[in-house]
Amino acid sequence: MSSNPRSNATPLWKQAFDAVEKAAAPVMADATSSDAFAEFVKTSTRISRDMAKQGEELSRRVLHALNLPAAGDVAYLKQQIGSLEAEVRSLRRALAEFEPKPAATTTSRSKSASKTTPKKASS
Amino acid sequence: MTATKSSESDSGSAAFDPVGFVVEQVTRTMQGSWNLTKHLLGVDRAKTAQSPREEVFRDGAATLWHYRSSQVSLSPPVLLVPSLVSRAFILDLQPGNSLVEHLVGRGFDVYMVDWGEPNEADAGNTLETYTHEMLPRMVRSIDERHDGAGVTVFGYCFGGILTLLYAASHPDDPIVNLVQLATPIDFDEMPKAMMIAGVNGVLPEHVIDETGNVPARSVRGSFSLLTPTADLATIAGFLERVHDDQFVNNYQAMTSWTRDHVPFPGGVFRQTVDMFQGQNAIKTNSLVLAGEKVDLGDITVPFLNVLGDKDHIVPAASTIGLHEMVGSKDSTELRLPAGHVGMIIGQGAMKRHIPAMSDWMVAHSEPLD
Repeated sequence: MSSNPRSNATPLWKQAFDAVEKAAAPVMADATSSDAFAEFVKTSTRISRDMAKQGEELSRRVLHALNLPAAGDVAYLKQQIGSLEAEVRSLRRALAEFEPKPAATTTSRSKSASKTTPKKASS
Repeated sequence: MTATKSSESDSGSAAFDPVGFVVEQVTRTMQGSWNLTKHLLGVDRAKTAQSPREEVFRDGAATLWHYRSSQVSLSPPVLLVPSLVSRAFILDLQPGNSLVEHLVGRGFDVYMVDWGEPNEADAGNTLETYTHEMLPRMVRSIDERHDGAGVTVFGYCFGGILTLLYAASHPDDPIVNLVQLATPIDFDEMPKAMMIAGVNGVLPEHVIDETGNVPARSVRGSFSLLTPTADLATIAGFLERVHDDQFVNNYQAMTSWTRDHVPFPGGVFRQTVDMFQGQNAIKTNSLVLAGEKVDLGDITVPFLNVLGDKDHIVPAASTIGLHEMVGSKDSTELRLPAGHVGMIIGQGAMKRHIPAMSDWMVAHSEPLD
C-alpha cells in the first residue's frame, strides 16, 4: 500500500455509495423478508409460469405442425434418459457391494480411542 | 480514538508529496484499468481448488476426492461433506485460503465429497439417497482404505444436515468423530427470505423446473434475497480496489463461488419444504427416513457443533444447542465471531477459526505409528 495517506483515503464516490448502501440495506432486507414480498413472489411465480406454459403450448403447436420437436419433447426425453441413468446408478451401487475391497492405502491403527473412551467435553 | 485520528491526519499533512501523489494515482489508474480489462475479458482468472488430489470413485454426479499428502501423521482420516446447493471448492478455495490445505498441513489424511451438478437423473434423489446410500458407501470405503481406522466426518451447511442424519441413522458405521459446521436444525429460526417456498403458498412444484430440480438461478436468488444490496456492494468494493492485484485475485476466487450455485435435487427439496420447514422435524427429533425414526440421541461419537455469531444464512439461533441433542458424552459447541463463509474463508478463518476446529480434531485423533 501507498505511504502517502491521501492515496489510501476512501474515494468520494465510494463514501457516497457506502452511505446509501448502509441506509438502504436493512430496509431492503426487511422488505424481502416480509409476507407481502412472499405474496409478490408467489403471484409473480404463478404468472410467469402460466405465461411460459402458454408460450410453450403455442410454439409446440407450430413446431409440431412442421413435424419438429418442441422444447417440451426434448425435456421429456431428457427426463426419460435421466430416469434410466438413475436406474443404472442404482444397479451399479448394488453391484459395488460385491466388488473386491481395495487395499489399505496408509499406515493403519486401531479404531480411535476416542470412540471407545470418550474424552471429557471441553466446552 | 479521536487523538489517534488527529495524529494520523497531522503526520499525513506533514508528509504529503503532491508529485508522488499524482504519480501514484496515475499508476493506480493504469493498473486498475489493466486489471479491469483482464477481469472483463476473463483473462488470467484466479485459480481455485489447487490442492493436489485424486479421484477415489464416482457415484452418479458425486465424486469422492482424496487429497495427496506426504505428511499424514494423524488418524483417523477426515471426510469433508459440503452443501448440496453450492460448489465444493469453497473448502479448498485457494492456496493459503483453504480448509483442505490447513487440515493436510496439520497431518490429516483428507477426503472430500463433491456432489457435482445434479441433472435429470438426480431429480428423484431424496435425503435417503445421500444419508443411506452415498455417504455410507463413502465412509465405509475410506474406512477400508485405512484398514478400519474409522473416519472423522465433517459436514458444512446442508452437508451438515446430511452428515448429522447419516450418523444418527447409522450408529454402527465407522464414524469416529463428527464435526458439524453451520448446520441448521431449527428451521423456525431460519431467515424468512430463504423459506418462501412451502410456507406462503409457493409450492415446490412452482420452483422446480423441467429437469425436476430447483434451478441454480433460484438457489442463488434465495441467497440474494437475504442481503439484497450485497451484489452491488461487492462490485463497488471491487472497483475501489481494482488496482490491487491480490485483492482482484481474492475477489475473483470468491465470486466464482458465490455466483456459481448448483441445482438442488427436486426430491430433497420437497422433503426440505415438508419435513424441515413444515414440521421442523430435526429440532423436534421427529424425523423419519427410509421408514425409520431418526433419533439424534443415537449419535454417541465425540461431537463438535460449530456456529457463527454473524452467520446470516444459518443464524446461530437455528443451530445452537445441537450438541445437547445428541447422545455423545463428549459433545462440544464452538461459537465463532464470524459469518457463514467467514468461518472457513479469509484471514480470520485461517488464523483463528479453522485452527480452533482443527485443534478439537487433533485432540480427538491419534498419531500414526
